[in-house]
Amino acid sequence: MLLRYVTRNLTRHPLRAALTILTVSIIILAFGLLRAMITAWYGDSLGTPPDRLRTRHAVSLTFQLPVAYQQRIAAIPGVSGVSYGNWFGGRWKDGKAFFPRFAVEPASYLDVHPEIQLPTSQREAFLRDRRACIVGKELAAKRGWRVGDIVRIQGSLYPGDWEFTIKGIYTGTTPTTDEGNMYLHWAAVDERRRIDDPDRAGTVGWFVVRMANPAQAAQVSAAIDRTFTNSMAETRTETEQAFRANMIAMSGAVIRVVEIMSFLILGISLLVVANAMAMTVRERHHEYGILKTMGFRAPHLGVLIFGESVCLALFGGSLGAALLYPASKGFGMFLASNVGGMIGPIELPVHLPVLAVSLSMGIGLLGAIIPFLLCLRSRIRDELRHIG
Amino acid sequence: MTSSIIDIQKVSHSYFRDDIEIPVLRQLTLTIAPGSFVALLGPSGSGKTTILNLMAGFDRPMHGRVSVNQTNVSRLSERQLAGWRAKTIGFIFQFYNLIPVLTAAENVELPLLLTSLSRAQRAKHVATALHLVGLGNRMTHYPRQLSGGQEQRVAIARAIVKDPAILLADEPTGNLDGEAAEEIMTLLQRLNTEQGKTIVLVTHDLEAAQRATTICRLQKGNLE
Repeated sequence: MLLRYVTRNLTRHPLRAALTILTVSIIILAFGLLRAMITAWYGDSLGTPPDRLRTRHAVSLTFQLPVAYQQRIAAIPGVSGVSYGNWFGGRWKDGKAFFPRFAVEPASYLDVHPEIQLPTSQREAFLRDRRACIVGKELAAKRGWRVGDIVRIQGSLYPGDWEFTIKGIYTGTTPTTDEGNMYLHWAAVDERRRIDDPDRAGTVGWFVVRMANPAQAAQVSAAIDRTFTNSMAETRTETEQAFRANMIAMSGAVIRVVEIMSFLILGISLLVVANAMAMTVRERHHEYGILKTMGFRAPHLGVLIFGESVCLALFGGSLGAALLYPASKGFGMFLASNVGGMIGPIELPVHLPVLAVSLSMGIGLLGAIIPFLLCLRSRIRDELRHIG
Repeated sequence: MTSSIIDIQKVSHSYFRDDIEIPVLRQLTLTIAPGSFVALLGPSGSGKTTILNLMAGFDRPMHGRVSVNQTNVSRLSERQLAGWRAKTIGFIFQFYNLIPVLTAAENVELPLLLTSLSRAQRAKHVATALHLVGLGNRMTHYPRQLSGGQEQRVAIARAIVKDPAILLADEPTGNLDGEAAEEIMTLLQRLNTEQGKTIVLVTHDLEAAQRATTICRLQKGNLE
């Protein structure tokens, strides 16, 4: 009976209830999308295979390592493959449309990255031609590129105008494989560097090391770094997962802001619900007084006030959670076209809708606390408002 | 053993507006016997509703003692008061004060939610109370679908559904036309004579007050 009373109370101000529900749903939707974005950001590092290590300069990624390290790393026990790469940078067209570009040693790179899948003919064509490149399926679809197209890049780290012919379009075998990258020949760019900037020729940004046994990651990493101790370019080796996590940490401030924002908007939602409930309790001041004259006490009034608040917030939260699924797809496409490979694919974690609904329930409970206390504090005499 | 169901002894009470004290009751003594029908008659501000508030424990007297049904009301905690009120007193208000989103039957059922009665038992009590006030055929009607007189009768059914010993009625006919007011007063009289309810009626309407067995005239916080 009290619950029936609660549900009927919800319809007493349909417009206010609808607006409150809508506001909570939009806020929960925004919260969910921000959390999904943060998860995708970190997810990019969590989805990396456990059998790969990254070796970079001990000081910073901006320092280069001699390409000759490859042979010495390959000779270390436990290493089953080594490749290397460098950030190519540059600008495509006016530079507004960003996508990551890497100069790699193609044969070994594809060997240690089995998740990058190419038809055999395209793979061979890419390996044969130093002016060739491959692009991810997602990137090709977005830019309308096909095999045989020429991509012109204006160099930055590697000055000059560059032209690369697309010889293959790769697909990823795992959901976290980034299909928004472009890979080209390290040898081709290094060749020109020997002429333009000979001091920096023959260097790479990092080595990718594949291990025979992922359980030996710590020993192999230590062995690699030990090999180059006291050299001109000491190394720092870590799992690919840790390497990517460090890259993400470089964007830590931005992610932190996004995280703070996601919780701030929950605070706004709380205020919206609290405000709606405060208005409701104020309007029903007299009614609660009547109930008190019948002997209704805090627990009964609590059911009415908290019940209504939780229902409002839950309806809003459920609507927001339901909208998360279609909205996350659109949001994922928006992010993909604006921040390229900086972020993994937006996939809604299973727990997120549950979290969103639970949070909205919490918002409903918290939002009713002050109105409930105000209701308890007021005296029957004042609520009945009649002094004779 | 006391022969009174309501015993008010030398009660003084004031209200404060900002820092200004407004005395309402001055050393008032009033005893009401069980089964009586007492009308408190007086102009606005004479203290009628304040007496009702003290009897119900909505207010505590500044001086004096208020005993209702052999319970010193001023000594009960808020929690005890709520339980005592639920068992002992039924209220009837000037503006009916029905819950607009509940039907007549649901409104009458409200006080029974605080009891251990089953749903079926509650329904039986509700039907009995509504039949008693002549609204057995309006159980599923919402307050907005009833006339003023009918709303007040639903309010009376709500007040008596738990069979309280005392009914406190604050201007129950103040918002009704002559015919409806007559019906309500007849109903209250019946509850007094047939059901033995002690009724305290607050009114400034002499005609309504004359239906009571005792009339107490209040003037400036004391009985005349």
